[in-house]
Amino acid sequence: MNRSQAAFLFTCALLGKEKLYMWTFTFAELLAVKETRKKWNHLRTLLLQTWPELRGLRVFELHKEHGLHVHLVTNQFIDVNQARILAEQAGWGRIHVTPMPAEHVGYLAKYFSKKRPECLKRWRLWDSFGEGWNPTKVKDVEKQSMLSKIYRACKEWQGWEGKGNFFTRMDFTRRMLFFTIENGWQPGLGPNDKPYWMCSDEELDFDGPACDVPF
Amino acid sequence: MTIKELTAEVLHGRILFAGEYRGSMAEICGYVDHKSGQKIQYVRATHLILPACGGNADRAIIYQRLPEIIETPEEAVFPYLRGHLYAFFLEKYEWKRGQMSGYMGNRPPELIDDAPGMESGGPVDAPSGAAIGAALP
Repeated sequence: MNRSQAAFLFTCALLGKEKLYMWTFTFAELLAVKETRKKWNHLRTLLLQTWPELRGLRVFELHKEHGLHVHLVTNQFIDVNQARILAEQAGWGRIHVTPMPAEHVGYLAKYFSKKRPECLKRWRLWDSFGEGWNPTKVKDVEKQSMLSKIYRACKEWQGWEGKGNFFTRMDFTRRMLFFTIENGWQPGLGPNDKPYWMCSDEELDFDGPACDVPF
Repeated sequence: MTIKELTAEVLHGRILFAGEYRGSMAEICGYVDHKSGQKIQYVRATHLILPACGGNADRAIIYQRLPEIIETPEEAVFPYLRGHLYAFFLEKYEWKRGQMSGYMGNRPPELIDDAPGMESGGPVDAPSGAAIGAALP
């Protein structure tokens, strides 16, 4: 699971705890990815004009054979026939809707763990729509792990600021993770539960960073 | 597991990583939503492995999501022998910037009994850094 998947699951939980509806919008013919996105923007505008209270999530899925299509998760049932008319107006083909128990949203989250196709780089694979709710954004989600705890301790110890030298910092943090596991330290602390800055180089089994980087 | 059995697994196309076991640690891992306060958590083991080949990889990290029966890191136990060669069966792996990270499924690591220079036998002591508690299935 990554942060995006976690944010998606949190947002789904906000959307509804009981019954949700999953919509699939596809095209009769194969369209280019950018064109599909334009058509989705058009359809979303039409849907929100017709049902201003509508809230939900949109997921882009690039199918191996059928190109890009869109899944929607909504917390409200909307008239399929009317939605079909709007979809046709926006240039979409087939529509399929099915009720979905809230606990099945993990099914959609699996798309985000797949390797992202080159053509979808920098795209938001999922997004929320509708007003009057406060969906979780990826930036609201914090990962809790041993590595992140060690990273935060290293950041404090080394006085890292800004976002520079990310990979070097990660290499350094990973090295501290190795020491932590091999020596049985508490994550984020050195021997005898001392903060890193209180430990000597000998205690940390540490002979300086692997590469010369101004931290 | 013998080297012959290991070779058979490789020939079956299984992804595995063999290396010297250096230690493990269990942790609560997950995500917290600062806005709503919701969280998703599970217990995860991190195994530290020294690849036998040396080369570009210094040490490898292998992650294992522990079964839900294990609710706290203290309940996890790692009955593996430090300094011995194990085979880790992976579901996926990443090799980025000379760093190897693997992700295990449910199959536990298996000791390679007849590895050159290794003695066979059961666990003699808990590895340094290992959490103590219930055995993994």
